[in-house]
Amino acid sequence: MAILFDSDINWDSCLQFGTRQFFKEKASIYQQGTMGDGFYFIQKGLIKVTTTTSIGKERVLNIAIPGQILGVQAMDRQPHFTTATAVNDSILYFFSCEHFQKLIKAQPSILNIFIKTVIHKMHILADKIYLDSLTPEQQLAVILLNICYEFKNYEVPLTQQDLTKCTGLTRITLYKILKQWKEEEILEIHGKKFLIKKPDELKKLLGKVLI
Amino acid sequence: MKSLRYSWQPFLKYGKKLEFIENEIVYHQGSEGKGFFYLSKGGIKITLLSHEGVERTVNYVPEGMLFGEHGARNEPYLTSAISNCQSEIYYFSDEALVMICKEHPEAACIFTNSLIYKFRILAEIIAFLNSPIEQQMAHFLLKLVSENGNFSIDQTSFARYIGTSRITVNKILNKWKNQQWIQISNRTIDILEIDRLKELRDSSAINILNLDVLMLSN
Repeated sequence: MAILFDSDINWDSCLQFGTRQFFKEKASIYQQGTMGDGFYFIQKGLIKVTTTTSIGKERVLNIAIPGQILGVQAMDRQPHFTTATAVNDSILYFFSCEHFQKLIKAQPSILNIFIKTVIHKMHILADKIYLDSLTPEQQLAVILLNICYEFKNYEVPLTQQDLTKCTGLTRITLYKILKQWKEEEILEIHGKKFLIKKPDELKKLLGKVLI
Repeated sequence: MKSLRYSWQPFLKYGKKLEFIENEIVYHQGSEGKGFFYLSKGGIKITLLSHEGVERTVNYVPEGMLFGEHGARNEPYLTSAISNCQSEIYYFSDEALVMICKEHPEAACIFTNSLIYKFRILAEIIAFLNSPIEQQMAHFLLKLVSENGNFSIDQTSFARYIGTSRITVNKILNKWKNQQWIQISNRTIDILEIDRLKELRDSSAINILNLDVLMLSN
């Protein structure tokens, strides 16, 4: 997923094409199976993206953070195949397909962001096909690495509480893993941020270079 | 989704025509993206290689569709594409895409929709990962046939498509044959009882909604 910090897009001028929406913690933004008609830009908050398999198991696919776009996969006006839920109180801008057409005209480079976002998500899915049953460590590593990919500088703006909510792991499991990683100097915890010192160690944990 | 097929045809003049013989690699997983392709004639198989070296077929590209869109913007190719038979392909560079979108703004939507469609194919495989093999086979067989007409595929290739062994595929195909749901001749599988296969496909605890939208035509 492309983060918009390193792009030349001026979102302030784009936001006028969208509608501002507020979502409370745990509120559903869109549900798997419902029809799509646009995408969202996250201004504030964290969004958990999950999917339900044919046997009814929920899988966390990704966590979307401010500055990212969300829900692009249903821009083709077909049903969403994921569910997006607000992890905490969030502010989003919604752009309908029609708004998107206008946006592309006003800011042609938005197409690149779009392509990059979809391609990055495809990589996440392709990995999922093989990383079927992940251990808690691997789950956590995937999520941290995916967020790192957006920020490039290996700083993850999440609290432990956010991670608990996002992964569905218990607070104790999470605490244990993070403690171990801290001892191994894989990461540092600074207040509401994680600093990943050895991303390669996390990648090793997954058995391959993910990104 | 139907509308995707052949929708890129008006822009072929911006591409470069290439000829491939059978079993030639069009692009290789992990190599740097140099652009994307359009299948004009022939057949292309898309495969995904895991880090353990297990190869899985993720798609058979029907004629009139784009493929390798994930190689746009220098992104590494996510999959490999190999010709099934002699094929006529058009190649488009990033510059060509920019040019097409500039002169034909509607092309941007066709391209993103096509890319999203590939994204959906991956999501579809994930959705079926934990389903019984028989159910997966029913789904992917219905899909192959609806996208390509009667589809010629050997059991080993089919097994790679489902991500299982040839023996399992053989057992289930024989079972369906005995129930007279399908007929097998010369590597071609003909569906006799399409409703039975659909029933089987939909027989999970949770129905995946709108499965048919994942198919190009019905």
